[in-house]
Amino acid sequence: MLKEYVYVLILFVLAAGLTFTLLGLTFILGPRRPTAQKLAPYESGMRDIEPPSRRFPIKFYVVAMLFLLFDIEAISFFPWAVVLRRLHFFGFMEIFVFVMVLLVGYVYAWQKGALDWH
Amino acid sequence: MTIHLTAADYGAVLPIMIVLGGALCLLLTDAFVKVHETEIATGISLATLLLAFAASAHLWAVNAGPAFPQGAGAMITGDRFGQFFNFALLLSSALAILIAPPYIRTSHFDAGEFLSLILFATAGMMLMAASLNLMVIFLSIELLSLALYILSGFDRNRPRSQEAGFKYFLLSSFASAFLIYGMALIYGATGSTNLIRIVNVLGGHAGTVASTHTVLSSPFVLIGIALMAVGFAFKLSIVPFHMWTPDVYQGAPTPVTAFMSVATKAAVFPAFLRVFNLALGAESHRWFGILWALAIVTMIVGNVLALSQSSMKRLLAYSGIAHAGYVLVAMSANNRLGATAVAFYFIVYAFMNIGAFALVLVLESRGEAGDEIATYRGLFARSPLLAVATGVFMFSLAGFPPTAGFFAKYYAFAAAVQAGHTELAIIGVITSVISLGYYLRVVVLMFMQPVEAGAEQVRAGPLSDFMLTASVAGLFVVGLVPWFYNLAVQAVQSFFHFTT
Repeated sequence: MLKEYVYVLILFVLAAGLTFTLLGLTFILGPRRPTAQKLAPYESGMRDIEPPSRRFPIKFYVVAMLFLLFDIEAISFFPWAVVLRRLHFFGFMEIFVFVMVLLVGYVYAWQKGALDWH
Repeated sequence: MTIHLTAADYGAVLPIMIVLGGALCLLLTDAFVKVHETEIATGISLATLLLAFAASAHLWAVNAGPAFPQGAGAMITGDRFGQFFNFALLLSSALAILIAPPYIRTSHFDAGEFLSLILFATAGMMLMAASLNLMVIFLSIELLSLALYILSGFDRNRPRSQEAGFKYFLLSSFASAFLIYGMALIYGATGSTNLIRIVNVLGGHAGTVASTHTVLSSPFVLIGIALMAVGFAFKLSIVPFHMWTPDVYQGAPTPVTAFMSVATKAAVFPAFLRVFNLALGAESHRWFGILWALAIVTMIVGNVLALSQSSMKRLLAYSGIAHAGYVLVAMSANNRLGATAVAFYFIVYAFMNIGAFALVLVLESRGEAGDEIATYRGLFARSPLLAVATGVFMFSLAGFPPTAGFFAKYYAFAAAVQAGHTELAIIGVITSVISLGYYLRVVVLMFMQPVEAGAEQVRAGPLSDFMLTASVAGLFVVGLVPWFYNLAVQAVQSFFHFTT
């Protein structure tokens, strides 16, 4: 029974290995020319210290939220894919319905202008 | 592991699927329809509810016999008990949507978005009423809660509404944790999340012999029962887990308050009954004391605190707490009459409680402070229909014959007496007398006080007029025609049947 978990372990090792390799390569090979501005805590054009008395637009939050939603939906495909062979046509129809429901949400977000930047 | 679904399986979920489909349609309506959005969205949602009602009624007719066609491993059931609560849920959803359009217009809500969330919540509630598995109960409680969190905070420019949404979200998710922890312990003790299997392990309600499974017994089941009771009691706003109720009811947009005040309870009580009276029926000596104490405290606190309210929505929130207490009396009786009383209560409660919110809603849609009870002074002169209807709702909530409110309360207390707990019935009657103090105050203000000079006439609009008339008629018909009570009796027959 424990043998089945070996695959999970391999996945963990691979994921960790890939992460460290990529980050390490960037760290070693990437050019670094720091300026004062680049080293600021928030390198996104905002001044660091400022009285928070006015409202400022946070346009990216809608995008971030949609990303989270669709990302989590995408994860739901994985367990389905594992047992698809055994579920046959029923499994296919189930995921079809799932995607259709997802599509309604996508069309809704699109039409409401959630994907426009302005 | 091929999955074979029969026609009976699809039949059991059909009403829920219809409501979900309608909710998706509404989302698309909101995205594409630009003119007459409120009218179209209201039409679609009412049509959806009607269609789901027809499907549910069909299911009722087909499933005349004992509960499940699907066998003991089923996740949900299409039995008559669930269908009866579906009727109550669809009814309360429809009544709330009938009075919502004027409010949606004055508050500049997106009608499609707003109504689709109500339908999503309704679907979650129907799933909860039909569930036969602890996991499905948890899933559906999350589905209905998620929609209700958003709906409570839907008026996002009004701080009170934001506060309501946030408060409800934080406290309710905390209570969900109690519920799932309790479920985990029950699973640990019995080895199954399926209610029927749990019955088989613990022994049935009707004294069936417990099977030879070893129950990893006492402390786990006891703690599981207590934790699940907390989770359910929170959703039902039972004292001492009621603190959120007045704030959320007052802050949430009024159509949402009207809807959730009835529908949430009509969804959670059947699941509560299935878990406690059915699955844990053999453990009733353990949970009876808990429910007994909760019922008494709830009836007293709800009715006494309602006396001092000046806001109608808060008054109705405390009244809702008190009514949850009455239903809890019926449930803790743990007999056939008790389950019948719970089922019957919610048909009645849908008519009278949503109707009571209609007054607040109509006045608020006109831009008045409809939440202040003081503004009802001389309302009879301004709108006879609204005043008379609200008067009937108040009398029914207080439990005056011949309104249905009397019979609902009567059956609840009769169940307690039949189970040998006369003290519960006595406290129920005494607190009902206390409740007259606040219900009749509203009536006195409307009918016996002079109207202020220069006050305008109030017109509610055709849909609201229809809703008010139908609710008043419903209260008398349900009370006086025994057919409805017999329906509840038949519903409960399926519920108790499958324990034996």
